[in-house]
Amino acid sequence: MDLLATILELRRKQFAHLPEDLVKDIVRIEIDYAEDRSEALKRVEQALERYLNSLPENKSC
Amino acid sequence: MLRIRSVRVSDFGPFKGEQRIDLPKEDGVVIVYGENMRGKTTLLNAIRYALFGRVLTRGSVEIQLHQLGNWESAAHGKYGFHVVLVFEQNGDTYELTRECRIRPGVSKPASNADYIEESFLTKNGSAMGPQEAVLELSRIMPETVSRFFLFDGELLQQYEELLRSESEMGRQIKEAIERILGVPVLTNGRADLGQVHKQAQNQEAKAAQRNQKTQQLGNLHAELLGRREAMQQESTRLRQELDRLKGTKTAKEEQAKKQEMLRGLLAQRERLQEEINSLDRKILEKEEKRKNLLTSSWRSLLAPRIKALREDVEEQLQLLREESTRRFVRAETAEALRKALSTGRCSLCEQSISGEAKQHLQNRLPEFEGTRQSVDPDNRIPSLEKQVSELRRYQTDASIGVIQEVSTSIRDFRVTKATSEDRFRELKEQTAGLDESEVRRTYAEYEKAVQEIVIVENGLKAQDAALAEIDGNISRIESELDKKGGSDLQKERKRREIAEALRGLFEEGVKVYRDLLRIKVEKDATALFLELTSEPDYASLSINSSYGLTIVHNDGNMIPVRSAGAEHVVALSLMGSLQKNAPLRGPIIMDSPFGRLDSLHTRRVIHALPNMAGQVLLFVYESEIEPKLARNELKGALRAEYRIERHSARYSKVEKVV
Repeated sequence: MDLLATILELRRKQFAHLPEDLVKDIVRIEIDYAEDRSEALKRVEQALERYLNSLPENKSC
Repeated sequence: MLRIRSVRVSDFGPFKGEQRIDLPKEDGVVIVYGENMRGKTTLLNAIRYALFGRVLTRGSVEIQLHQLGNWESAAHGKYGFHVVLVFEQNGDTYELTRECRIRPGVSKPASNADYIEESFLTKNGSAMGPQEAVLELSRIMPETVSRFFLFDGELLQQYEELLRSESEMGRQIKEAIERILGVPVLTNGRADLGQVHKQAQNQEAKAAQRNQKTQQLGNLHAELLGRREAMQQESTRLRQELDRLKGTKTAKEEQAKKQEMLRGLLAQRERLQEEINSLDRKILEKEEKRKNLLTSSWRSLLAPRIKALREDVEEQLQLLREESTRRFVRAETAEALRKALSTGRCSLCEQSISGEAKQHLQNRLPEFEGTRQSVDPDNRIPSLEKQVSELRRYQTDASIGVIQEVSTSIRDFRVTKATSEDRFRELKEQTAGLDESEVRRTYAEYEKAVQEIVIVENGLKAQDAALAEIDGNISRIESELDKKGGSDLQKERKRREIAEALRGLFEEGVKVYRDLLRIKVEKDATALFLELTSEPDYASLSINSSYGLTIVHNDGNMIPVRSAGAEHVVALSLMGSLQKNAPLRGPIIMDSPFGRLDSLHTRRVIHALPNMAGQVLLFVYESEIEPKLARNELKGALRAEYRIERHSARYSKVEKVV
């Protein structure tokens, strides 16, 4: 049973507007930091921030 | 996948000096044979100690460190012990050492405080820092899921709890199952993204407040978010309170079960006390009656004479009454005759009387008038009636027979009371060491918890409704901000939208993944179960929402009750299925798991072992699995055999079987 595959399939069907890489990043963070909850939250926040900064409208010249 | 390569123990339990078990790199089964009290459970505990730093008894009570060292070594003044575990995980080799040394200055340790405990972890030969090591170990093998890798027959028995919806142990096992299956990855993600979403909403509100055009909306948004935060905190508090109350209810329920026998004795004691009180009342009543009977008992001595006298007077009275009646009839007749003679007519038929008839009547008249001269009996009747009444008053029921009957009743009651008092004393002794007020308190606390649960649940419902309303208001404000906000709000809005959608994805993911897991676990457990069971009429296993498995008969009916042996077979099927479906995989290490299985099931389980996990390590006694049977069933999958040899009651040695 692949947890990542399940969530990616769900993204594809119901949340297609969400970036796949960001979803993968978050799943990976939660797997890697399952025993360190505050580190996991910090890294999820960072992943979202990185994604937002990568959007063309938010990129500084 | 975690794979153990070797276990080394030194002065641990009955293992004096250093002993080791090497496990091959290849998939398969390793069996360690040992009779009772030789140290099989100690070897399982050594692995547990290395990984988690603690050792549990069969009843899950933690064993003190100073009880773990080898007794013979201690007798020679050598205290302390260590365990070294070498294992591989995802291509990396780890060496974990955990040791217990006597504290300097202590000559004879008596408690944990007399020891210094240290652990070291190396990864591919390089030592890891203490914190890094703890984190790495908790990632490789979290203690919360250790029950699926290290277990014995008793632990297998606990899986039945998954079929009881309100069992606290069932809830804990379900949590552990979800953990090994990776569900917390999604539930933690959902929680983190919920937090991120909230932060994004606050950031958006602040940005809106900074802009004159959206300031008012921003203020309202911030206020609503603040209110929601407070309400959510209250909801969280209520949920925690509800969990606590449910925990209390379950704990009190379990405590009450344990106190069941005591409660029975106490109830019996109370019943006996009531019985004794009731007998006391009856004895008192009877004694009062007997006292009254004895007070008038002298009358019974005169009873025959009084009776004779009364009968004599009654006879006289009877005669006088008869005479009185006769006199009355005669007087009436004389009066009628006189009337007929004076009128010449019959007073009855009004006919004229002839002369001859008149003469006849005249002749008979003295016959009826003669009574006038005799004594009137009516004068004596009242005095005789009075005499009879007086004599009756002196009659009594206080006969010897009645008094004897009452006395017999009193004696019977006293005998019954003595028997009850004897049993009462016995029960009092049996319950003397027990705190009866605690039993009553347990029930009172259980009742209180049930009542409080209802109150908190109602409070939560109201809180959830209020939260839904405020969420609706926040959504409306956010829509307004979407329309009115400028480019300065764009990033904040995007952050909020993405975080919200991600949270929604993970929330949905939890549901979908749980459903898929249940289907998969049920399917794989069924396949393994059919391989393990010798009953051809069993068709499958059916899973519930807590991962509890019920046997399904060929006719489609569930088997509601199962034996301890069947419970083990079902539990092993679940274990195998979890190993197959869990992202976290490792060895299965079992201590004497076949004790409740018959030879046919044992053979089937041995045969299926290589399919249950990549690496299987068994600690068994020879009558549980005969070495010949294991070799025949496992063939090439049996990678190594060890035997624990007795040197003395406190010294065992692990020998490899060649």
